Amino acid sequence: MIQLEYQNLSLKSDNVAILDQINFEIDGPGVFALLGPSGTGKSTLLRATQRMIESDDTHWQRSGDILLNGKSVFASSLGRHQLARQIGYIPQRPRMLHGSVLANVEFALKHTTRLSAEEIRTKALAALAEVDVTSELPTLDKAASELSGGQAQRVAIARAIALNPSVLLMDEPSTGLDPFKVQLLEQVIRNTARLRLVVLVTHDVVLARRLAKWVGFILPGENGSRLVEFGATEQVFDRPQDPVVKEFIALGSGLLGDTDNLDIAAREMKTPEQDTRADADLILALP
Amino acid sequence: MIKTIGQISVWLLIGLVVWMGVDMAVRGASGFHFGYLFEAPADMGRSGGIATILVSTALIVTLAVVLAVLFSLPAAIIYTEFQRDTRFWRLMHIILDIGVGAPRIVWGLFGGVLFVGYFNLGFSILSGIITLACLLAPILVTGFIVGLQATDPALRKQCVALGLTRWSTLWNQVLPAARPSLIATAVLATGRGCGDAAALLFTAGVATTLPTSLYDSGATLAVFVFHLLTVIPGGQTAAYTAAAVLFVIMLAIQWMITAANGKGRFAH
Repeated sequence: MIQLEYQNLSLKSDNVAILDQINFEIDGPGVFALLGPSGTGKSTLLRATQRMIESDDTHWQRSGDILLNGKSVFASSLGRHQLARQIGYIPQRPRMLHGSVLANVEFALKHTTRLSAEEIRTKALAALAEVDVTSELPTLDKAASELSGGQAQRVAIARAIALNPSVLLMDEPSTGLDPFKVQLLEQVIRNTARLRLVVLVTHDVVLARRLAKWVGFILPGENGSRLVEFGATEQVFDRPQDPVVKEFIALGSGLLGDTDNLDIAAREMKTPEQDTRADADLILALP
Repeated sequence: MIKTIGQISVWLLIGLVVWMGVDMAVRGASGFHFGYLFEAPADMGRSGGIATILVSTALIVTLAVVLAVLFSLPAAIIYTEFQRDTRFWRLMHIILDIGVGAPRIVWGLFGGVLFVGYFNLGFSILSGIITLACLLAPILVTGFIVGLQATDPALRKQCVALGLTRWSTLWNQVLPAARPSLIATAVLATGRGCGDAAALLFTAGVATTLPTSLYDSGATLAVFVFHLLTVIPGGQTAAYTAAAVLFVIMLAIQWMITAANGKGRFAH
């Protein structure tokens, strides 16, 4: 049983409100998908969960808490290396480390645990097999920097699960992958979510529907983004309460073709800044 | 109009460099003979070879670069890891700029007074090494900082996410990623050291004999050329030959920098 709880979490970055009173609780294993438009702070929520925001240059103000199995992830007694063994974080475009594929997965184990070289090798190989990389590459000594986007994404997952965390945070893992690669990735996520709680940030409605047991929607509000919808996937997708969420789902599922029918609210959410961000994502997603 | 001026300038520049290179080769060749690189200078340097000079040059430049790197790399690491926009770091930046911008003759004068005189090391290879290291250190620190700052910030964040400490990230990921640029900076400093006469003239001295200890005086190639031209009567031909060798060494160093920079970000 894995329990992740957000208690009235509010975040401000350099006095700009990003998240407003985020309050929910999920019990794993399984996949939880967090949806919402670009630039609403979904990634920030993930990064906060693994305390990544601490390494930013910006000044963060936090109120509220995030609890993993009843214990705050912000507890000063919890070291970063310990946190990484409880919560794995896979950024949108994972950065491959220096060296081979195998070295990438062994790296954190080697430098943050006291396991023997043999045990490290065993764990790394198991993690790589779990994400289906082993069968795909002729050798695990291949330089990680030469991997394709989809392979890098899965090596990043292996790198995180080698540390045996109970929670995995994934930020837009399907970005820039072709449908075949997405399908492969989906299978891997499904596998890893058998024993772990996977928190998936995405704006891919279809992916979320196929994978997630629970979903949440965050939308921008006056004092930062709020969680406007939360519940079992079927319930939220079939009977969304919020009108914007309803449109988001309909548009994302390809059910609404006529853009003239768009709700004003949905249009106003798009700021120019978010537009450029989305464009940047597109450009970077190209091979 | 501008196009014409530009074209003329380009041809003038090409002509100038080619002329200089040919001049070096032709006049330098007149004093070059079989064994030039393996014989000691004779007749105050007017004849013979430059073997002892090459030994002094290698000794002074190598040890000065090593000494300077030993101080510069940790300084650059501290700077990139802990630099914040505070008065202290701004001051450090200004001081580094002054260090880089200070004329070499000023460093020579400084070393001559401090190490040769005050610390009583005399005209010695040791004085030369320390003075040259002082001159090279600001150049190296600045270059190293640029190299370290150019590494992808995502690399550090990735290591943070995996629970690695700052030092293990630095040692195992950032330094290997920055390695080509760090090496290029060190090679650049080696080039500066080889080509410099001003800082060594009054510290390492102009002796052309084979140094037997760090307390012996020993001229580097650039100092030797300078000395032949300014002090030794009839030393011009010998100066040309020595300068041609120096020129070739500098070209080789230049080529090494290009090679180091051209290499991929990760060498396996």
